[in-house]
Amino acid sequence: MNDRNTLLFGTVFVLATAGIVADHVTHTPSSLPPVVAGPVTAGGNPCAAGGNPCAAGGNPCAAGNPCSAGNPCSAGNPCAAANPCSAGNPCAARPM
Amino acid sequence: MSMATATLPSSTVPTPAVDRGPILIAALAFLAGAVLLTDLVGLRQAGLFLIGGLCGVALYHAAFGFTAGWRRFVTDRRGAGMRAQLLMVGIAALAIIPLLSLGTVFGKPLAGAIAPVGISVLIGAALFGLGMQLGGGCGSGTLFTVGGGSARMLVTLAFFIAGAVIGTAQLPWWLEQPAWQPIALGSEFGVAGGIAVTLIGLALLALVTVWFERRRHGGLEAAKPAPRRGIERVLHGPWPLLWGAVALALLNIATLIVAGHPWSITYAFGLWGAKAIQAVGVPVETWTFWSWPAQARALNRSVLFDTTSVMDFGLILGAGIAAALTGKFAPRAKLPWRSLLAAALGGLLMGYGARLSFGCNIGALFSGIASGSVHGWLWFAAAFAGSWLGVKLRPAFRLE
Repeated sequence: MNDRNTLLFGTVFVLATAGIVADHVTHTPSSLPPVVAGPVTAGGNPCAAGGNPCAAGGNPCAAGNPCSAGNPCSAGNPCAAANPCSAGNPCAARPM
Repeated sequence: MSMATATLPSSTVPTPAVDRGPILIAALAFLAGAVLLTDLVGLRQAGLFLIGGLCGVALYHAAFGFTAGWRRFVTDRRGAGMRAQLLMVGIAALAIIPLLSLGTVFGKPLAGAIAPVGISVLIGAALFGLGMQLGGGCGSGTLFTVGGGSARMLVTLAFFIAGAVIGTAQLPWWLEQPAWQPIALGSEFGVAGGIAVTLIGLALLALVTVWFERRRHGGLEAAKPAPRRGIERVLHGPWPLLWGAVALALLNIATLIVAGHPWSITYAFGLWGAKAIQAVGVPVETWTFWSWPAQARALNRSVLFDTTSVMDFGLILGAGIAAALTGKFAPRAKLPWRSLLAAALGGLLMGYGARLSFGCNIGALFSGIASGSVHGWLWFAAAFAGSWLGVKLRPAFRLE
């Protein structure tokens, strides 16, 4: 263990922790507008309605829309992790 | 194959001196993180934090890096590292493809790492592969080495985050480029067919590495003798690659069940970067990417609600604990400017490339192929080509 390196990492650790705390305080869930959450079915389904981020138009995945074939919220969901339609996946039952 | 063939000798190396300060801090932070996540978000998020921590331990103790494994194959034609990676993907595929076919587990919808097969993946993965050789680690490699106290990898991570943010700014344009619809092998060929095609593909690649290694060396590399055994080895390492492969495969399956999606890493980098520059006045919320509902929601919520971020935090702390247990936290290292330049450049390329190609070695290659997605295979091929170029460029930065 190198003392200088350990000090560097201690500083980074403190700064990162402070950043996470600050982010959490300023983005508390209670300050957010209500969001539809629930089972992935038509109706409550964020992928089904007009606000569907995976639909044509403002589709983040347009041109080779991964969310177009079949139900994007079903198994084999093309709105995969790390997909722009995902990780905070609008096609999932809850945001990731 | 060579990765698990060694006969373990009796313990020959004394138990390493634990780095007491770092392990105390990392363990307390881990405990506090788990308690706070349970309280603030829920038990599921705390579970993902724990899974991330175990990933960090497995990655560190098995030294399970894609970057070094690919480089060894390119430079020395030694393929044990690559075969361990292929085995890991295969084990995960055996469970992930069937689980995805179910659609839900314990009432929770499941989404695979399935994405379009197009230009953005091809270019993004190639840039990522190039970057990982210059940066010195991929997404998981960067995190577990940062957790282990590598100052150089802090530079890589900082620029990785910057590259990811730039990627979010330009992703909408890339997504307009030609691409095929996502192709899920489990949907195309059924569960059994999808698994069979995936395993055959992985086995063929493993055989290619065997063929090259035997042609160069006449045989496969024997595993190094284990310096310690039993619980000593579990706690202090080093683990054989086989342990790492099995552990990481099981942890990815656990991630799918708990989070509803397979393991991913780099989405969080873009989110952290976007939040950071938003905090200093950059209106990222007006960018196309961050105005998409899911991304806007992630940006506007606490980072503790982001599953990928929470797993990444756990991974870093888990690797820190593993490094401290080994007595190797924060090693002394020379950091010449060329090496730092390569770290910065590599980080930028990886961040940008990961955003374009729907993830890194974990999110796109590991989770993609294990989900039966063809984009994972394209990612693998393109990233390996980029990595080959990166290996050739390393001497220009005086990297080994």
